[in-house]
Amino acid sequence: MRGKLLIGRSIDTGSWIHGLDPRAKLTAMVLYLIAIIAVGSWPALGAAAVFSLAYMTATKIPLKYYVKAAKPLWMLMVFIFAVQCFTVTEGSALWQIGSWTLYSGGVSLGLISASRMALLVSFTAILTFTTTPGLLNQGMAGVLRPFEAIGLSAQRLTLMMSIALRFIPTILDEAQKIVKAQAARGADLRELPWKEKGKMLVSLLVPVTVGAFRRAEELVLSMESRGYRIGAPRSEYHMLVWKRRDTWFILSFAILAAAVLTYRFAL
Amino acid sequence: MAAAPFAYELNGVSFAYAPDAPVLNEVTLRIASGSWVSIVGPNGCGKSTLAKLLGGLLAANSGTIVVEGRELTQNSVWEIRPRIGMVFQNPDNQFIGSTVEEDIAFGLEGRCLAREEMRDRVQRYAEKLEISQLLTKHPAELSGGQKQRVAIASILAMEPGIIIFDEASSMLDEKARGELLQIWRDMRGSGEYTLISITHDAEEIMASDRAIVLRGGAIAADAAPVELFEDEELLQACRLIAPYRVRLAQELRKRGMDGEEIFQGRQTRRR
Amino acid sequence: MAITFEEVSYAYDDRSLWRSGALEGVNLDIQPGTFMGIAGTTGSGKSTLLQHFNGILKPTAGRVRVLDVLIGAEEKVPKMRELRRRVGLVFQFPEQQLFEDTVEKDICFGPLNFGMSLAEAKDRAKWALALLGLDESLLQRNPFHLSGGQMRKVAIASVLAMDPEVIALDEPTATLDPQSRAELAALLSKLHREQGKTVIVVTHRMEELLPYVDGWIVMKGGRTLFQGTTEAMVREAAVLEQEGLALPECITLWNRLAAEYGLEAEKPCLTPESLAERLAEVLSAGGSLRDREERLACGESC
Repeated sequence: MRGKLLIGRSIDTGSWIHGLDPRAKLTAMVLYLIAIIAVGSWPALGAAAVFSLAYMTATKIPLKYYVKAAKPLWMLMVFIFAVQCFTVTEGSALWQIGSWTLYSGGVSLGLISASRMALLVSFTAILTFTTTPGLLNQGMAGVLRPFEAIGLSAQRLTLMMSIALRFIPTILDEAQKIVKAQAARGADLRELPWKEKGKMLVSLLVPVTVGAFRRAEELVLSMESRGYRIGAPRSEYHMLVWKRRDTWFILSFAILAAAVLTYRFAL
Repeated sequence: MAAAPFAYELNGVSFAYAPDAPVLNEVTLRIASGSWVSIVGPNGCGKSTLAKLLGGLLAANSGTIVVEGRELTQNSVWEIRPRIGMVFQNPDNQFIGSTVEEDIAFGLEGRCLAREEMRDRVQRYAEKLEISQLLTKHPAELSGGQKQRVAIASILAMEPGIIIFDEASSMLDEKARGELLQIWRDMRGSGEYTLISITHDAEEIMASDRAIVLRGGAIAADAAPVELFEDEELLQACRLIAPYRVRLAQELRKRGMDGEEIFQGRQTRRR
Repeated sequence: MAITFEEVSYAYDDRSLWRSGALEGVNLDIQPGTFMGIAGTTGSGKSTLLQHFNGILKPTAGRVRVLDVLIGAEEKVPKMRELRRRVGLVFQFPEQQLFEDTVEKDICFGPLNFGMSLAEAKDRAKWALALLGLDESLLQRNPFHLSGGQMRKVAIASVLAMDPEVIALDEPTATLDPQSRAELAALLSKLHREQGKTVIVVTHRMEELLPYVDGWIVMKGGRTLFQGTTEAMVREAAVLEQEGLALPECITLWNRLAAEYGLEAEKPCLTPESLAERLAEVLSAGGSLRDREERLACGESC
């Protein structure tokens, strides 16, 4: 876990973004998502990048943590890039192998798509970096509350999410320990031939799953003994206070989304 | 509330997960309010099951469990459970919140306490267990001993009268274990809590008031810790080893010497 | 030399933000064929240290020599396979790493990975099980249906089956009952004595290894606080306690009694039998306790 996994961990630098209402941050992320999806050209991408970098800097968290957050998905980005290169047939032909031609439009669109993905993943990390999971849950519960009218239990959903966030690092930590233990028994992922890697996977999945179930069982006991009852009313420890800057924060994202959408569809 | 003379009165309590494999068989016992009881026995003797029954996490198949004068039933369990706190073995798997303060607050939120009251209790019990400076930490940043302190603070903040420790010290290092023992001594000294501890640890058993020995789902012995540690056969049966001091005293006695006199040291003897 | 550390440091890459069991300038010598105990509080770097013994971790500074393999921060990483066969590493709670549906398959996993034939591996499984005092009938059982103590032993057997020259275990007795702890410690000692293996054990409970080990390594904050024989450690007890190490009562009591009866120069008696015997000798030589005391008191005042 150490170093590689940043999921569900907040990094407290005390910036003003840390102090924002989690509901504002969640809403802003949804707007950001819309904006990013609508980005389809280099100027829009540039604007989104400048916007994102400005907020990332404002968190006072070193940029390398954002890069780290996006790293696990690099394969996906390469894949997205490749798909665009293969399928888009616009622009001038750059390269030809047999019956397949690489077009400049494909490369350009591929680069834009991959960068969008990178921006999205690293930028949404702001949410988890600047908000403790408890606050995040409460924000989530707040944002989901309107949906309770259609039978969604915000409390249950957020509890599930908080426990998942809380235990993912623990379980990954354990998985890493098991990887090491199996390496000590001669099954080192790096040194094994491909054929053996499948066997290796079984030797990891079984103990990790068994371990996760054991943890879940113990956690349930612990929660029950602290009086937790599904659906029972609860009070809230954290108090959420909506301030003016929360509104401004959301507004800036709304402007970004509107600008990108207008640029794409109206102009 | 602690007016009831007995924290627990068990009468013919039996339990089985499967009908043909009984785990507990006709257990009858009483535990005085404010006392510290160790429950010991070999693995598979039913200790942990007994702990869960006492904590109201499992219901007995037959027999009655009376907690502070009230019978534990399907209906009363929700009212009785707030009187009982439980601390488990693995410090990681009972850390529900994502920070120390959230974890302490988890049980309080369930009680629907007002925010002011919660803040006050979080502060008060964090101070009591000397974890005030850790309130905003994530569990991954804490040692096992610190996490167990958080677990105890979370339980104490709910202000129960009975606390059950299910092998709560067994995953801690020696230093943290010593500190936990001191916390228990203080709690026992305050007279506010009935402590029930499931343990293999000789020192912990020695520090408690009474040892209940379970074997094959039944009570094999119920004695003062000193007596337990003098009974070689019983120790074998529960796979325990007496504390070093007790074993040394026994060896000295065999050689016609008085252990007490030697332990006290010359300084005290001379006075 | 079985294992040598020269100025070894290991830093987890994000130590600025989170606690870590890093190492800082560790120097160590572990002789072949010795039984060593490693003590220290949580987070002192014990587990990190252990993972350098078979190249699971590579030092970020300094050099580690294990048997004839050199692993240095500056050097290219050599192939670790052979080293990992020769140095068995048993992690904490090894029973949580079992995964096969029979004990035999689980124990054979290691030997097969190291290129043994199936028949050979099965022989090894039997041999390893016997070493740990487990019955052969367990081979076809499902490891998940065994008792906790048995699972622990099977998991240890699965590392021993590779017949390593060095075996290092991270808190092998944790959470077991006291008698199982004592039995396991005795078993490891037997492995050391009868098979001539270098055995290194991390423990929180020093007293269970005291009767067997040749020496101790005490860690604190990623550094070695102490390395030497049990005798030397007993003599330095006061310093170690001041550094926050929790010492077992047999050591603190010996030191007190040794000071009282002038036995400081002797080899410490750390078992109830040996200490009682020694006290009996001392006291009978000097007459009864009370006589001796009066003489001492008189000697001091006259």
